[in-house]
Amino acid sequence: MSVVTERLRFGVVGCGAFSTVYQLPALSRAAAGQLVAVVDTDRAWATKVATRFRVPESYSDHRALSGRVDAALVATPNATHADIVCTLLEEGVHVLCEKPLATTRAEVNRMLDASARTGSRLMAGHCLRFSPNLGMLKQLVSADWLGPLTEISGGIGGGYDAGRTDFRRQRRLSGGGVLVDLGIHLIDLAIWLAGEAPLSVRYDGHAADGWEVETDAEVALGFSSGARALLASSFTHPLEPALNVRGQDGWASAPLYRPGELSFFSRRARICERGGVQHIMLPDTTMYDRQIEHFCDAILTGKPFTVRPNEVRAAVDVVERCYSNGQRAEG
Amino acid sequence: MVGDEFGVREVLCGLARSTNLQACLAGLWQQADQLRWFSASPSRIIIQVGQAFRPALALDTAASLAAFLADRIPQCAIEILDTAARPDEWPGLARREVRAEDALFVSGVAATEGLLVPGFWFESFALITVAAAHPDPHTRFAAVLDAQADSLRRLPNGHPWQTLVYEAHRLAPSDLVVVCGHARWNDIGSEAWWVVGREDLRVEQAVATAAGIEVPQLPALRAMARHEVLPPAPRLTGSLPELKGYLAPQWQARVLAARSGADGLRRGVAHDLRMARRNLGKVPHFVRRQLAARGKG
Repeated sequence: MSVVTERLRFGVVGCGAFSTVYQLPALSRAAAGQLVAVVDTDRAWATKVATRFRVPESYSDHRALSGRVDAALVATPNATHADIVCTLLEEGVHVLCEKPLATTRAEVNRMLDASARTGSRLMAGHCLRFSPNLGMLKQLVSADWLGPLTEISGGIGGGYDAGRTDFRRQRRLSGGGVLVDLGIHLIDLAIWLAGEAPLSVRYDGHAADGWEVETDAEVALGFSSGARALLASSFTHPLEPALNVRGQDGWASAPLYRPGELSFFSRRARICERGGVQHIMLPDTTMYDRQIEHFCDAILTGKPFTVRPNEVRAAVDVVERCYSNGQRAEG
Repeated sequence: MVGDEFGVREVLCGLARSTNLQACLAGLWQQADQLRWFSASPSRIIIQVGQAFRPALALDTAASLAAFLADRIPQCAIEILDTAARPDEWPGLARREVRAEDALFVSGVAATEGLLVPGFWFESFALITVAAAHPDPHTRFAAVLDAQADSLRRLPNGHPWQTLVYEAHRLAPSDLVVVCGHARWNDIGSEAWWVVGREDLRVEQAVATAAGIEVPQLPALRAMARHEVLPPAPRLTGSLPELKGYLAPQWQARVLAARSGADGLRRGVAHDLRMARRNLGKVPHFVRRQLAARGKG
């Protein structure tokens, strides 16, 4: 494990649209992080990105980060995460890896084992947890303001944006379709809010013409508490991007891409008795900034990550069960 | 706190010389109980004491009511919200504080740009407000509506008084209201009086009328009337003396209202500038997104 300074030296592996639009700007703003290198298999692109974000070094191979950085953000195609992350962990680099951490349980276990063995820390980038409204939603569920949970529902997705690499169409790189790419956000949130792994998993997927993987997916999860989750994701049509939680005494709804808004009603809440539904307004900070801040803070102080290994395992387990139960994508 | 709508219009009045205050208060609580105002037996009651004017009579009234409720609803946890109290002032009762770190920002009706509210307003409890009526330079006269807004004033809410008074009434109205005072304001030699009711607006009306101000002229109720229909006049049980010295001069209220209007205008302009700055701040991100999209192409 590397000895870290007060400011983590960061490298970013994978300079696709997601990195350049969200993560690199967040890292550039981070007080506890210092962007020192970017890596992309397309060296010319890496150099261009480095110039744009004023990053001193650029490489085409992630192994070049060894000894140069304290931490790395891995944002490469899903199926490549495991090998890259394990290599970095072995080199003593702490890793924040984009979701899904991996596409199979075996890979997740391999990565977590590598982290435990080396002492280099690994966090899955389930960034929506760091959205202010979803963080607040977790707080009010934990404080029992809604009563025992009965239902979690949500949707995510819209028209597919091919991006620079268009890797999501290719199973070899993506490891699956919309379920593992976008749906896993909602699966993770459901597991986080329910506080347990689901007992039952039902899945329905469909692949649009020209796709190797499913482009539309619906998952129903059943929890031991009796709560259930109904989650939909799509690459082909816009779904209302929101997470809704219903308890025996109330409900809350958080739009996924308006992080400062949360609607809430509870029969238990004094303020709702006469005032009705409350629209709570939260600081409009980006989830990426907060995620980086949390990751750096956890590394520098030794605090645990908000995203726990057992939750990451549970989320990937759901995806694997969906894909292996014979109801996978039909063309 | 009550399980039905029984007695909403009813307002109880009590009058006592300083020698029999406790007996009069005990009688008032008994009357309220007979009207089934305590029948819902909540598991938790917060008694908030008005902070703008906090005489011994208000504290004695709150203490008497807390003792009565502890006896009447023994399973109920009673808490006191009295920010100005000394640490040892409410022995045997849990203290409730309004803390900025627990506050939540919610959208408002009068507070169109939203406001901070105490986190505990999201919990379950019955609320009783005990307030001493007093003259107020802004509103001429203040009682329960002003006291209800104390919690909002404790937070960094920069809204005008009428906004906070309305939002407190809308979001956390009291289940029971007790207003007290002396026949001549702040003269403990004169008779003590109490008005007890289940609805903040009706109690405010009753006391204001006794203080000699007609409801349409009362700034606090006029502010309420911009958002909701005021309830019909209360039905008084018991007698209330003519209250003297409870009205601040009208000219003073007018001057302050004009100043408040100018402040509101200034705040509006500042808000618009903030929003404009925020929108401009989004431009670099938009440009980066566009450049990234071109880069992909």
